[in-house]
Amino acid sequence: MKKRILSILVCMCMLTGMFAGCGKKEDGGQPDDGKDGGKEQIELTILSTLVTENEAPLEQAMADKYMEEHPNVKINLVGQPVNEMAKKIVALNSSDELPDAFFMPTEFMAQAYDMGIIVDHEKVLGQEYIDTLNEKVVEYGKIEGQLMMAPWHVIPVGLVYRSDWLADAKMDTIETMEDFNEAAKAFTKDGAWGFSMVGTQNGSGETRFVQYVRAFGVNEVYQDDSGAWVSDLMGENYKKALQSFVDLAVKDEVVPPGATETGYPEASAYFAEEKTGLMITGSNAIGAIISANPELDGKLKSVPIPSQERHVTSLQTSGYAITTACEHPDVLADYLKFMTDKENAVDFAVQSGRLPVTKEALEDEAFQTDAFQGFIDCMEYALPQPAFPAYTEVLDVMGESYNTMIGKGTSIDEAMKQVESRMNTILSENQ
Amino acid sequence: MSLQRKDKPSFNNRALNMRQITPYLFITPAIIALAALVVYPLLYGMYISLFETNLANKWNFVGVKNYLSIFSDSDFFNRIWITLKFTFLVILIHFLLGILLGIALNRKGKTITFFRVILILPWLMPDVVVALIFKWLLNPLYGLINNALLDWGAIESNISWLSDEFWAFFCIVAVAVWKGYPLVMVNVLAALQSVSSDIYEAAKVDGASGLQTLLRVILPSIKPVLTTTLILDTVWWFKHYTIIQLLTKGGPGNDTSIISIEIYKQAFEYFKYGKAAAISVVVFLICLLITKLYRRFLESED
Amino acid sequence: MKTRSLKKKKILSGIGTYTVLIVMAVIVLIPILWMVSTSVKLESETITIPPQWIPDHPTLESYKRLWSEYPFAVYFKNSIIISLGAVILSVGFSCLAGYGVTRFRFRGKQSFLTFLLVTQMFPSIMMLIPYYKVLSTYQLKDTYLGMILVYISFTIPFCSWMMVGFFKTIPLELDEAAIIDGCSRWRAFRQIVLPMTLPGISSSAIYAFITAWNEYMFAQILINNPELKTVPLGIAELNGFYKILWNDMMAASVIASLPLIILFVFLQKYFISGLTAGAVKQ
Repeated sequence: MKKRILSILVCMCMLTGMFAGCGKKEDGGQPDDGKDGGKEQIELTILSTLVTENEAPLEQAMADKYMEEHPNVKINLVGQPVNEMAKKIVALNSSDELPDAFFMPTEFMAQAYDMGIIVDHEKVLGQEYIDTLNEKVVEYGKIEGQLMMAPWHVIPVGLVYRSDWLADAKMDTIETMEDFNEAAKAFTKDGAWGFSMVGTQNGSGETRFVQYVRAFGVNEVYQDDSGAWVSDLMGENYKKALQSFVDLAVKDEVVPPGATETGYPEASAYFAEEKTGLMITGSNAIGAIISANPELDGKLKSVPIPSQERHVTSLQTSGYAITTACEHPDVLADYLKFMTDKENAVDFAVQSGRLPVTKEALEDEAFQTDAFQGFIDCMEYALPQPAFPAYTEVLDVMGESYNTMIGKGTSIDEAMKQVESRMNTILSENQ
Repeated sequence: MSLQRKDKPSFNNRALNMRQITPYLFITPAIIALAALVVYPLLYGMYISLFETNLANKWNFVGVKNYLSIFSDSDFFNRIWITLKFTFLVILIHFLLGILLGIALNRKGKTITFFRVILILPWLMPDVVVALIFKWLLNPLYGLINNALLDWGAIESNISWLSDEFWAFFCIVAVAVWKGYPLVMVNVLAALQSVSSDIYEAAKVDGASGLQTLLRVILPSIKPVLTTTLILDTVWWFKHYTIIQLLTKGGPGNDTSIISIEIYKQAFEYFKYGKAAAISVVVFLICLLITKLYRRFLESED
Repeated sequence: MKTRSLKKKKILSGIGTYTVLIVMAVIVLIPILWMVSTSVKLESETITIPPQWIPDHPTLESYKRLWSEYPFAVYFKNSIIISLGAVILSVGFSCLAGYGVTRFRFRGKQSFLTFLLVTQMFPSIMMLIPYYKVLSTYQLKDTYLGMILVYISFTIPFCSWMMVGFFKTIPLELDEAAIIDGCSRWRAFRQIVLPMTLPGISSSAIYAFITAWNEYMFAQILINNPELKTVPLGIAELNGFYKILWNDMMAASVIASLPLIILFVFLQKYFISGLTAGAVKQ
């Protein structure tokens, strides 16, 4: 048997050698020279994740409008589910076939920086244009000082609640965590629950939970004065935040059953179906909720995430990353700027809940409504995402801690022990 | 057609052809198709397990460091244990159900055709759809299952099936069984059909009981087909990813966290391809070991 | 007396068999009928408490949308071409391999069989990127042929092993006799042995078709051209990160399963042919 496996391996090696050899030869023979004639016809391929969402027609309409104004430019929007984007880019890059631009998922930013496949956007877009953008947004799109995308829209994370239910509960506003707990308890009655918790351990749940614990003064990972990475996750504040978050589901029962299997689609469906009245979410949920249940129009209000120690938010800045493979970065940049001009961006934001990135558009009166005001207000509290290389693993550690406590009834001490052991490993591996 | 019966020729007699090229002609198409596509990816996976790489501009050779970091992690062994438990249960039930139903369906008639079509349905559905349907049925609030059980008074309050320590594992096994048993069933059925029915009659005449016929006559007659199905069904479910990822994502905690979910996380969430590849190599070796054991026990001859 | 008890036994075992079949059929059908039921609901009716089996307003809107708003006709065409191609090649290659392995003794036979299994053991997720590189190297990316080759590389190992199993059940005397009668090796294979393995061929064909028809992960990465997208990619597009359209998705699933069901109804009758073939063996 050993001999047999050995002989198979040898054969495989030889075959691979053959194919690898072929590959090299063919690679050289296939550069496409482009047909640069007199009047240049430019084709841009863009991988978009919005194709699977409600916003797809809005984006296509913008591309169509641009192509109408610039007949020599052809924009191909290719749909790519956001979960598969990282895989696709890595695969394309392995054969040097990157598209001109792709929608940058937040989780992929650090990795894309590491791979060195993204152009310097500040240079391509020009300082003058960068200055028109909201500073927090720009800060958010940077890894190690390099702007990783042309920002297109931003989704601040805040708290959305039912203003009519709050009035019924005789409360004015939700400012602190105490208010939040009080409201959650008041909303829980008659087959409804207070809080639409997203408790899955899949990134979506964690990014909300991060905001919750940050409000308790916790910084999940940061650099101390000496430049070493440290974390507050082993401290008392995190323990307190974790316990209070878990209590919402386990002790106070203000969360619909099955929190750990409730993802964003389910949680927002609960809210839209008037099963819940509070949700920590991005501004894009407003559009989704109202389109699922138009009767809620006018009954939604947003506020910054309630504070225990401080208000916080994360700005999920989204945009297209121009790759180093793009032959016409200037043309592409022009299109991306076009998407953020005031008229287009405000229009898009009102319909999708994805807010504009330019200062001018953010001040538009379209956002001075109950539903949007809180999201605009919270932007000043934004803390940038740490440029920690293993950040997704840190999120996973946090996800595991609340997920096991809610799902398995793990005790807080055990959960904290697991956090400590995993965090120590991660920190020591990534100094 | 009429066939003359000659003296019973044995394999060895025919060995006179063995130096001929004919047998290789028969297997060449399959070899080329596989060698052209699978061999390189396999070796590539093994190769990058020795690197710390982003598959673009960073290739640091680290030797066996990735393997060391896997084996120093107790969670890894826990995951392998969960995977083995999951695979064992799924395969066991697949075969019990598959053989039972395959035999039950091995007869003629319109009704049987009807049952054949119904019972094969789960196999026809894409994994993604199966996972989503069950997630929907098991939804704690809107799910059909909870609501039916509440109606019948079997439970008093909604159960969150997929976030409960016990039920989550039970559910992924149940869904994997639902999806996978028809493969065994269909192959048992096909195998029974290509075996002459006379030997069953002979066994009946000899007065063997139902169970005896099953164990002594039916199963041995379809053993080659069963062995193949067993080996590959095991390997496939050992590496299975889609259904569990969509149902529980390995949760609650790590209770349903089978090994391929970890590989996926390492590769495309943490972007540690080297470590993911190293785990894959370990999985590969485990599958190889399982296969060797199976073959040792099941293939006495040839 | 004895015949009566035998008859009774037969009836009892018949009842037992059908009870088992009916129970299993119910377990299988509940999720599937639920899928059909959801596919004829309005979006607002997909979420109701308690859930309804028969919607108040049954509608075929979802099905219409699949053809008008999404290019499912194109997805179908692609899936059919790719799946049929994969079935024909993998069944053809596997029959050859199965015959070769069971009818000859030759050096490397065991290595060949082991090699087939070995290809199935590496977690496929780690093969995604190298597969892309391979297809790109052969310039087969974004072609039907490329996807067909990818899928036969998944299906050939199982199909070949199955065919080896099926060929083993056919007595060697049969082709031996034919050759002595003056048949060529090839004719013995094609006209005498092959027809007897029809049940095996149909079950391999079903397996290959299902695998190619339902495969999602590789198609997602390997297909760039929207014109070549297959049905599973279309279904995935209905299931966004921020929304799930249950009714549309279930309608797509129903439609996606139909060709497989038709194929199975067509092929399952060959499961009977073995009975007659068995008679010839004597």
